[in-house]
Amino acid sequence: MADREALVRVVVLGRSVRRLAFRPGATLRDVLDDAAIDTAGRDLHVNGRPADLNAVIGDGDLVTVIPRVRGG
Amino acid sequence: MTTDYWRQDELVRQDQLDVPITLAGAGGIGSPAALALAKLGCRRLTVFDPDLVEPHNVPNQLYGPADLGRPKVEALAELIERLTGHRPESAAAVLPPGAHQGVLIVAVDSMAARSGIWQASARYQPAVQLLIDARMGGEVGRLLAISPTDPDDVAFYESTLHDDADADPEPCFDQSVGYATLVLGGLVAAAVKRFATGEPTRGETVIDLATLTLLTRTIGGTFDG
Repeated sequence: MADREALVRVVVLGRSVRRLAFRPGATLRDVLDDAAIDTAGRDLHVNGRPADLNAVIGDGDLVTVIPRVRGG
Repeated sequence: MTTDYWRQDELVRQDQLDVPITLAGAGGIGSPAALALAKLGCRRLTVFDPDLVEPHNVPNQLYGPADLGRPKVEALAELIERLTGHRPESAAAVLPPGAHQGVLIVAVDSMAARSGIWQASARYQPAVQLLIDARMGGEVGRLLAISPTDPDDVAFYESTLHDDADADPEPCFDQSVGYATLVLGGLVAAAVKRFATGEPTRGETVIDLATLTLLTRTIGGTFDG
């Protein structure tokens, strides 16, 4: 039986909230590339913790993309 | 006529708000923050901003067409006096370097200005009991509250002081919309209230009105929400 897909909630602040399916072992880079989410000027978190693009994403994980804002 | 605060006394007492507050910036976040603080009953508020009111400030700041060309701090002090009966101290100037007593609120419009204030007026300054740095872009706001003499807080805050060139480049994050500035101004006042009442204050709050997301974390902690 094939491995179950990992369902990931992806929140891009200022933009969108999506629920996406990925193969087991997918990385944060895979998730962001597949969803066409740019990382320039943005902080990345998985389940509330800072994460780098090589972080492996699991079923039920929450990916949050936070823009670095500078206005006042 | 005196002001009666009985409807908020269970949340914060007036004597708890007897703390000096310095606000750098009277723009999108700063102008509603000043009004919210004055409405709360903060009477020791001083506002600094060198700018004049321009037409693009009217939709997202607490200024009207009649204020065009006036110093922001003058128009703001007048508005606050009319709405609260108390006129805050103010100066049409950038925040002067040096230590400022009590709570220092940074609501300026660039990371370069934030870094300058941090180095000149806050970093390891014991007179500054609480630093609040409020930032926004589009519908996203970030509010950081730290003790500038705590090494963990200093390290955390300095990790957020990126260059202006490293900010999100999407044009929408260089925009500003009035309902978001009002929310951020309220969050600033809420942080001051928590500080005044001895509630936990230090950490980061991120709010996004586009996705209706609210995230909070303590210094060194993970985001909840």
